[in-house]
Amino acid sequence: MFRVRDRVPSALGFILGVLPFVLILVLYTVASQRRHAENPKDKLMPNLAQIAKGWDDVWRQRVGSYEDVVVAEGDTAASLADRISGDSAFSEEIKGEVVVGENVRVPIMERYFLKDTFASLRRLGLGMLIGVGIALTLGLLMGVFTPVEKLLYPVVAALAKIPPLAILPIIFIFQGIGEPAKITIIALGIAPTMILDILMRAKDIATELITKAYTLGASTLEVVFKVVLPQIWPSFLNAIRLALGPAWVFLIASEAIAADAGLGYRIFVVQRQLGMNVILIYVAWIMVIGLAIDAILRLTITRRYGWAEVK
Amino acid sequence: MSTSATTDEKPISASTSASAWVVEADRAVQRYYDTRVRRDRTILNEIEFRMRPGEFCSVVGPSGCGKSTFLRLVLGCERPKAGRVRVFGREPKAPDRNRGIVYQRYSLFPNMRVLDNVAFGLELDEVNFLMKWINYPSYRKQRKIFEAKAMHFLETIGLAEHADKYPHQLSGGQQQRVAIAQALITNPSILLMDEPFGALDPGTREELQRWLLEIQAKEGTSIFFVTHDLEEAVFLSSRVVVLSPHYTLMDNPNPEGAKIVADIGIPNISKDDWLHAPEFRETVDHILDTGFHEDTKLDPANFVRSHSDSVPPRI
Repeated sequence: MFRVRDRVPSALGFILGVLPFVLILVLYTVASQRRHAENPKDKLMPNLAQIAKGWDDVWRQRVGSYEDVVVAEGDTAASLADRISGDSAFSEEIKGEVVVGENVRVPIMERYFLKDTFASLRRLGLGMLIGVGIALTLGLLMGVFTPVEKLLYPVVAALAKIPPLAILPIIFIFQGIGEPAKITIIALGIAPTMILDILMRAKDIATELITKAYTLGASTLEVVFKVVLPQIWPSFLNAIRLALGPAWVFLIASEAIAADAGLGYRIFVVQRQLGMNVILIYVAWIMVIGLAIDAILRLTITRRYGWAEVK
Repeated sequence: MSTSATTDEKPISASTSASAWVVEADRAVQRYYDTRVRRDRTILNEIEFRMRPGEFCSVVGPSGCGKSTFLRLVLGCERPKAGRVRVFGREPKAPDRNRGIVYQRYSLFPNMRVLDNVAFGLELDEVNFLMKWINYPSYRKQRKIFEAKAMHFLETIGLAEHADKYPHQLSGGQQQRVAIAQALITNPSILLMDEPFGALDPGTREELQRWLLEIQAKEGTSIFFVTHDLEEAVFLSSRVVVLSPHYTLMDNPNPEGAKIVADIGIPNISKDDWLHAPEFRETVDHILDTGFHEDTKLDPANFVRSHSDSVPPRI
């Protein structure tokens, strides 16, 4: 079994694959219990109860933020909470009497978990969409037309060497610290590398096939869209799959720096209270999302584009 | 099998006026700048050649002598540095539908099924580029016609059962057959072939050779066939052209670049008879002698010119 490339029976292969997960779980549980034996209030390695509480915190509605509201005639604490959250069950969050005309800070209730997930996924989705769009356009043009390649390759190759997080401040300066900036950093972060990848794939297509297409009567436009683009499509999807790694990094980083919602934002916020339980939940959730998207892309490639040998 | 609705240049039957030659090379020269030795290297040194429609002409010669370069000049991928190459009187500016090509590798588009590969040329001809997106039902109707034509073609070559397969699922011989069908369906004036059977095992190669002969006999296609296999060339062709750098000139005993040192006509008898005739062997040996030995140095006056269309030596 330990000669190079020797095969392993599939049952054993499966067990081996599961083993590290089991090991991690066991080691963590043991370590966590040890710490809790010394200090029952330990927060660094949350036990099951703490994690359950963390889940409860992010899933059930809790105070997300506050809003200033002017108290009107007939308002009570309950009705104020109602107006904003639509759920009077949590009106006890508002304490004391209210006076008409007074400015009151009223809590806004939300499910962090969903709110953060949608905020992050929206930024990721838009950022990827724009970045991928730019990359496909430029990469294809460069890969197909030599003058365009000569023009753009040096600058794209140079820009690709800049760590995208280093230009994040530039983006913040120009776009502020709101949504557009986060989408931009993802788009600009993944684009250069993807451009170079698509460029290489397009150039890798055998010249014989291009010549052949011309001899069958294709115009240049047809060669690009009926010969080149379809052949690079599976690698293109794979490049998207690979770009998701860096994209998540840019997302989390930009949310950590300047946001008011999002998976990365929440992680950094609860870090200040050593909220490891919430952090672990969010990290696991990000992992699940990542695996899901990755699996969808991988399966699409192998099922619909079996003719391509894409790794 | 002639299916294209548009009129491409059809082979003109034979008068010997200049534009009736399907291929002409008029003192064609090809040179490349060799960066290692920092000067031009001549590959083709004043090639003189003319070919009538309907011929099966093979080009043979030692490795690296410029056979593929000559083919690229006819195809239009390259322009000669001096002299002219013409196809039906016109100089090829770039590869286009008048000259079909079959390569040794990368014969088919890997992302399309066999049927789509064969139908590819038809769609390029007739379908407006955006029709697929603008008027899908009309596009589908056209598509059905092309697929029917392509299917018919596949049936005549016995590959109909593979229509839905992808090229990587086919054997080498099957791929080459589909590639030839793909090239012929658009009715080019001439079919160029660059060692198309070189990567196949001998049994498959023989099968495909006979099959190609059948098609050529049926369609009367002009074929320009580059190969390094002398027996293949002598068997298949009506004319064998030997390109070789081994010759001598009056003012230059060691010239650079290949010339056509032999232009041999093959008797028009049944291929089975020809294969077993003693002249077959003799012709192969003759070709070996004229083009392949470094010390055989013919001068242009003594080049072999046994085909009726061979270009006579210049004074």
